[in-house]
Amino acid sequence: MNQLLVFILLFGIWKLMTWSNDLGSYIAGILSALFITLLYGKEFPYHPKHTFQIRRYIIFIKFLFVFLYQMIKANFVMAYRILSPGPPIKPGVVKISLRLKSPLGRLILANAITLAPGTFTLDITEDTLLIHWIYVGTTDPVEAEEMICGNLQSILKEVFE
Amino acid sequence: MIDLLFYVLMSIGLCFVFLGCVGLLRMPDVYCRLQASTKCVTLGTGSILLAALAKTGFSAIGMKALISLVFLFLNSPTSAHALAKAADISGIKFWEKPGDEKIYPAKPRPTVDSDIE
Repeated sequence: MNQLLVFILLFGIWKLMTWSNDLGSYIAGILSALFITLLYGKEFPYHPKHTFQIRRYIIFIKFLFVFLYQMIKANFVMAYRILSPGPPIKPGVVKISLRLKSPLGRLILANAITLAPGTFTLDITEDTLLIHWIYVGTTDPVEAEEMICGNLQSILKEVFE
Repeated sequence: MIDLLFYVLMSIGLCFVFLGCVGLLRMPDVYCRLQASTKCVTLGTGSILLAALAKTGFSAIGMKALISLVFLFLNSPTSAHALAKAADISGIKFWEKPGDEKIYPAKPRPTVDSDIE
């Protein structure tokens, strides 16, 4: 099942990228997808219970909209910081707690924080995230988590766990 | 209509990429520079790729742009994180405004030697 999912995913991406109906493209796609599947197929994070629950996908789409809004806001804030004289920055490092366990969820959370307004994932350990903040608002871990993540962490927890 | 969308997306993208470059010059240390360049350049490049999709429609080029967009959003923050962590491990100091109180360090910094041991 793992291998089958990886194969379908890889072949789908190949077909989207080449976007042609040649016989050669099919053969090359099947061969290369099969090769990678045999090498790495087992490591695909596949949860038999989670994959077919529609609820998780709906929540993930909601997460994407929250993320997109955050990212556009981040760009305007950053444009303001870059263009105003004597950059209005007060950089520092804060620590917030990380409750997600699934590796994919942690990756997506770290990437979302990097693209969120003024924050940047510097390091990640078992249960903490070390975050570089370009304008430090507070050094208290709980308040910092509220200001940086908002509800991103709980949304991702619903999707991946 | 499609042409208008193309020009608007392309202009937004170029503006943000330009801002990212200006940020790279104006920010004081490597971490702030990474912040400026990562955020602005990710959205700028994404916007340029969307413009390519709008111009060519769902053809070979458009689909390549769309897939590049997904991989860009997955990889750009990750590579920035790798750069920042490498800078941190090799001991580059955090810049701070003269006169402000110290906000870092939140933890004892790991060094390369202790990681190897």
